[in-house]
Amino acid sequence: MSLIKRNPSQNMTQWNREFPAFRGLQSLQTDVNRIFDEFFRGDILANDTFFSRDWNPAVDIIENNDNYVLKAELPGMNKDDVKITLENNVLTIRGEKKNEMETKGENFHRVERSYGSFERNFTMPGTIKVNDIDAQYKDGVLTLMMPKAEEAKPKVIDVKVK
Amino acid sequence: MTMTNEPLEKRPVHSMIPAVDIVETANSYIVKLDIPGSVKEKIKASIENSTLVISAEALEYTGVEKSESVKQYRREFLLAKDIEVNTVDAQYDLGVLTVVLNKKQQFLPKQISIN
Repeated sequence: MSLIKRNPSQNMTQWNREFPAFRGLQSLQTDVNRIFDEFFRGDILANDTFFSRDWNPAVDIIENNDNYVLKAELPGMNKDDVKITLENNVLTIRGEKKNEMETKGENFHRVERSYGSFERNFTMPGTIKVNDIDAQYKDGVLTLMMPKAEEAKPKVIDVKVK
Repeated sequence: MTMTNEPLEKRPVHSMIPAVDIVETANSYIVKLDIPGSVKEKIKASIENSTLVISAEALEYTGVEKSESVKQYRREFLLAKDIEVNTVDAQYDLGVLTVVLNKKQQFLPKQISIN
């Protein structure tokens, strides 16, 4: 089951054209939605690093028959600034995104994007073929393909019914 | 993961609001939005009624073929009067969309010399 947010912006566009005065209301709603998004994205209860790190990139971990697949959203990072290690079946992703903006003579109207260092640890549910891990970084998304070791794959045992 | 030709409406859609940085420099406003996992062709930026509308799509990998869902990013910004809407420039790199909105000539800071 997943929570799917309703998207009010479609209806609101028409609404805006007719009543320009309500536009501010929509941007307020957008902001409130974003705050909720960030709150739930933070894995506050599950993650002990919440208070000690600058940011907490969103991660999906998917398991299929042959692989564990991890996707991490790291927009704006260079791939050389991301370090991935696997030790005792614990996968660690850490990195640092430097704030590339100069502070001289500039006004910051909004700063919502995350900067600084992060570290996330995941205990993998099964054994992984360490030498066959494939890591790719494209368009701000890190994808790790981690092939399962034979013993971690689901086994089908035929039981003969007599 | 590849983008297939299957109509997007058939897939589950998750609405997302991209995080944004807005920085004002002497000549321009620089708007940066985090839109990880999209491609240039799936990003739309337009200015309508002095509102900048950014919308984009990214596929979410679910591990099962043909069950991929779509992340739909959308955000609107009401533009100030000092923006030259005809010279807006946008670039997508490393999952970040950078939009540069130049200020109109008459709003640029000017050095006035005293005779």
